[in-house]
Amino acid sequence: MDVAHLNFLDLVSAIIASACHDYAHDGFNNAYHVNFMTDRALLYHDKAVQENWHASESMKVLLRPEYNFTEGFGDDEKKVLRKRIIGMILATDMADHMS
Amino acid sequence: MIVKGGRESQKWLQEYSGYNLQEIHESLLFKSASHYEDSQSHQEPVLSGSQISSVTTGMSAMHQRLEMHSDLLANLPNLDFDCFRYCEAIGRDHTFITVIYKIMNDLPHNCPSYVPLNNDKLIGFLGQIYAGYRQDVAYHNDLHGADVT
Repeated sequence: MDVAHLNFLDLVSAIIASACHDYAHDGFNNAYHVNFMTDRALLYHDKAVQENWHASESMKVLLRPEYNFTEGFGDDEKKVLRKRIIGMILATDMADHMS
Repeated sequence: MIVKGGRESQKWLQEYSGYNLQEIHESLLFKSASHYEDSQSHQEPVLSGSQISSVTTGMSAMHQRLEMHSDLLANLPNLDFDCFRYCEAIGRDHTFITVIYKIMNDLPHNCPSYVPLNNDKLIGFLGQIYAGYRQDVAYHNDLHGADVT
């Protein structure tokens, strides 16, 4: 596989995003959460409810000092990493794929 | 065409066909609610206790396990790695963590902006993520996470 064009930050963020992309999935889809007005739907205003949940919960885990393995990165790199992971997880919401 | 995880989903269907839908719905609702309250009231791991400690047994055990299954993991970085066959061979508990840990560790050290990662904390993090995936969810479970990765 050709990974020469990606730097280390890209690779780590892609792997972590794919590993976390359905973290704490409860088995329901977004339509269920929206229609039954669950706590998750209320929290994210019906927008990409599950995806927002996966992203925010896994980032919470990552930010705990005992699990934060990204300490080697600088502050700017950490920001990029966070932005990429959240972006990639939110992109798994299928609702906008046709637009 | 062979659908990946076909055997897995068949197992789910068989398991669930014995119950009536109302029961499933109620049990899922209940679990969902308690799960949410847990993560809200205190910032503890979503599924704490024995499940995590049995999976996250530290770095030396992890490397031991990786060596033990090195033949199964041989073609891991390639896309033809079969996550589900691997899971059948070594058991579900360790699949998610070993697969992703191996991928992270095999990243080329000479690529731009390489920074050594804290492997101990990485194992802890992956254990937490694994524990957060619910195995009773038919598709979006831990194996789906590992497979996509």
